[in-house]
Amino acid sequence: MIEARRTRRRLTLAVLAVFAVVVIFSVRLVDIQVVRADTFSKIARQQTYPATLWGTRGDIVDANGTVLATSVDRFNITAAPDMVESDFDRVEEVDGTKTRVKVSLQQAVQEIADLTGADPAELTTTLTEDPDARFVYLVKSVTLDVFRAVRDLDIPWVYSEPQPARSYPNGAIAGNLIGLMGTDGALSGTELKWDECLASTNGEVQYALSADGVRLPGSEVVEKPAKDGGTVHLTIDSDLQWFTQQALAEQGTAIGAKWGTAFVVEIKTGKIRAAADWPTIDPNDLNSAKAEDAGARSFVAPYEPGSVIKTATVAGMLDAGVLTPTTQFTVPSAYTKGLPVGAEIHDSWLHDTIRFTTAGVLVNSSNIGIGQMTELMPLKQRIEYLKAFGFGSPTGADFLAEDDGFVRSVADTDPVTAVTQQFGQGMTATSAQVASLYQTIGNGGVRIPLTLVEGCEHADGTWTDVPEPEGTRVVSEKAAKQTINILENVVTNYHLGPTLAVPGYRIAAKSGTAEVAKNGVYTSDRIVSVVGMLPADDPQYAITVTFAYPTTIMSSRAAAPTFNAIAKQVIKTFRVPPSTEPAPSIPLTW
Amino acid sequence: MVLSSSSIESWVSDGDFFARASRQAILALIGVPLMLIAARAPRSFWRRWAWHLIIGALVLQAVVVVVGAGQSLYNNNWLYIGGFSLQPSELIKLGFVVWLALVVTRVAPIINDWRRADWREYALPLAPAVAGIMLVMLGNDLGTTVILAAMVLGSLYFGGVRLSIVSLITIVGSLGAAIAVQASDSRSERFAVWFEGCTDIASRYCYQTLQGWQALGDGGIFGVGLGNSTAKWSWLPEAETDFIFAVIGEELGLIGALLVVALFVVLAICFVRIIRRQVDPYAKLATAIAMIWIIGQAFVNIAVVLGLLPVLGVPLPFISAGGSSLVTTLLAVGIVLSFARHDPRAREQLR
Repeated sequence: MIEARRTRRRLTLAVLAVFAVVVIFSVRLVDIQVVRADTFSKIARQQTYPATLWGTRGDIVDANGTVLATSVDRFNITAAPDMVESDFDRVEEVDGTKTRVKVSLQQAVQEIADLTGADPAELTTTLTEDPDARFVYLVKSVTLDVFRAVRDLDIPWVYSEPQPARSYPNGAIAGNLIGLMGTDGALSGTELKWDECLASTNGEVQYALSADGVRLPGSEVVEKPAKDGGTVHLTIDSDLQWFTQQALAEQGTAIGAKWGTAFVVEIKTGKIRAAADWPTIDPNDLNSAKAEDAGARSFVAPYEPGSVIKTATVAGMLDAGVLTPTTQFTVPSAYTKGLPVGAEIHDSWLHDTIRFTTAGVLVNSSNIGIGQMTELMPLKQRIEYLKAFGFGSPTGADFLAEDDGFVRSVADTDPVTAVTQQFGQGMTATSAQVASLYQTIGNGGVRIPLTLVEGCEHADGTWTDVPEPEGTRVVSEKAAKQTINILENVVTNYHLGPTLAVPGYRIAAKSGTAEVAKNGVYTSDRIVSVVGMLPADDPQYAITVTFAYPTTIMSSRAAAPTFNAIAKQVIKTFRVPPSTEPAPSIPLTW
Repeated sequence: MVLSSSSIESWVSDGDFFARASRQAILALIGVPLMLIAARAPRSFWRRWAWHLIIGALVLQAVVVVVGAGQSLYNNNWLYIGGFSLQPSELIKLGFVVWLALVVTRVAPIINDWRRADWREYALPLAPAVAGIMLVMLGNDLGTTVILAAMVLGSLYFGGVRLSIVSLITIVGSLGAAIAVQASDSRSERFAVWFEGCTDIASRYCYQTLQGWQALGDGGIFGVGLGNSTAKWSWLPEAETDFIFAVIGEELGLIGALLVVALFVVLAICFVRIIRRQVDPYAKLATAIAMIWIIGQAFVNIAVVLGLLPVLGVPLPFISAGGSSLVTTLLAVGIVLSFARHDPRAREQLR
């Protein structure tokens, strides 16, 4: 009985001990898991490592969303030379059993070379040059497939890093507009001009590692999210762009020209639907064009445009009311009035005195006739008209390093230039500015600055639009209409007419054959162009074609077939309805 | 929890996330039926087989010590037979349950009256207990030694031996243990670290404890969720065995950790109830020893994780990975259940 009571007492003591232990445990647990939890989890969190979250650079797309430039993932294969040994063991599975195979350094290098196409000797040099180096690049920018294959080689000293790269799925289409990307950033063109929109920001993620270096799943904490770049929407139609580039290349090669440009501009909006340069660069391959051809001459290379400027002169005079399309001029064989002694202005063909109307002067492109017209308007006003048409100032397309061209001030204009700049010599313009002139005329005299970029679509879907350009009236609607009607006669009543005409469509055009000056002296080199618009009864598209330094055909005849081909393509692409009425005939002579 | 805590290291060593967990599951499938069979054992069964069991276990342990001597500085209490490995020291614990109860019920009165008794009358019957402890100690397993010693002392305590004698043996044992600790570098360092408190993670014997605390701290009140432990990613050594409690605390939080403690308390209460209802002193004492084993080992394990005890290396009963431990603890429960079935009142209800 005493025994039993003693056992009972001892048991109670044991139970009390259990509860005491539980109390101690609870206090301790609360202490570690609640009170001091922050301290401990802070230590735990110190075991995290940073990694870069790569943002994706935005695309450049055309008006229809066709991707012209995009980002792709590439990988750099790197190595740690200080870890390189003469051989290493690799576990290989042969017939379902895993065996260790010795792989020599030479063998490993050969395997990498086979997969990446690198030179094995060069790889070996890179690896062995500085045996203490911890990091070298073996092969840069390999594709995912190659990267995986190299990784599967299980070479212990081979590592990798992601390397975002740029790809241009449509190759050379609009290559000169898009520009180039270097390894450290944008180099030229839209890539550089719109870098702010396109550029991505890399973020940072912190992750925890296991004791043996494995990244713990679910342990990633994004400290700074990566920001993807936005998409730049061009106004370009990539199919039309391709066609104009192709047309330029064909004709440019045939006539032995040095370079060529072509524009298609939507007259009502000023949007550039095609801006072609030849020679063309494929941004995928930096060696596809010479350095001087890599940019977009259409925007950055001003030249003396020649007779295509006569349109601006006549339109300005019509606007000012100093002449009408039928004003009569008696055009002599040379123009000397007001010029220094010995200076003469000739036409491109020899003639005796001819009786031209205003229309006749413009259609036949008489320099002497234009000279006579200058007498009807003071120099200051003539220069104002040229400037109002956009010469000497940006087109609004806002292309990188776009050139403003050059128009002299009244004070700087010598008597010869005062006349010649009215037919495009002694002043300079880019192809874009010429296109802008014909847009203005086609648009009833209202100049709408050109646009090349619709806007920037940010990664979150919001847009930053390029502000809608504001039109400014340069000449009256009547003057513009009269000018167009005169220019239609170039197609109907001029020797280039049959080459330019598209049956069923009224087309207004102007040719130009400019002399190229070298060191202040005009040479036998020519820059030839045909510029115009269609359909003339309701102008929709302005088209320019320019070739520099042709060798087989030295006149604007060289550009005419290309203008015609592009005109037909524009009609097809945009389904331009045919004209309903024939072109009015204006007397060219009297 | 074994699945969650072992998956990563299991993958690293075996290439299979489930390798260790499925081994554990198979042993549970063996252990649970064994427990149910043991629960059906007749009243006198354990008494009859007690000596066989303890001697068998001691022989196996002796084999381990002889074969394994000098193989490793670390715990080498393992016996490898074919593809299996087992820890005979776990069998000794099981043997202690049935055998100590038998011996102590007989010698307790003699010990209490030791002045008049021949020393051989109580010392010889208890010799296997001392032999067991010594053999396990030779196997370099500090944790199991502590548990075995606790079982012996507990059996004396619950067997009715006078407290003064129990205290004396405890003091002598502690002194012996202190000398043993000093004799081994690894043990003395572990104790030194524990006394000084852990702050430096680089310290060899602090690493595990601090990792355990970080896991617990990371878990907070509600835990990081099942499977989300970071400590188990090879950071925390013995995450699925001796330190599984830290992983529980990390994944299930303070609530989960307290629940585990509470479950052991419930188990302790069950043991106490069984002890109280028993009339047979042998059954009473055997149940008490089983309680000391299971509850004591659980508390030592948790205390180690919480830094209340130096790192001793005992698994958490029923929860830690480890086949021998799981099967033997289940068998111990089976033995206790067999006593409970023969309890007169229980029999009445069963009828």
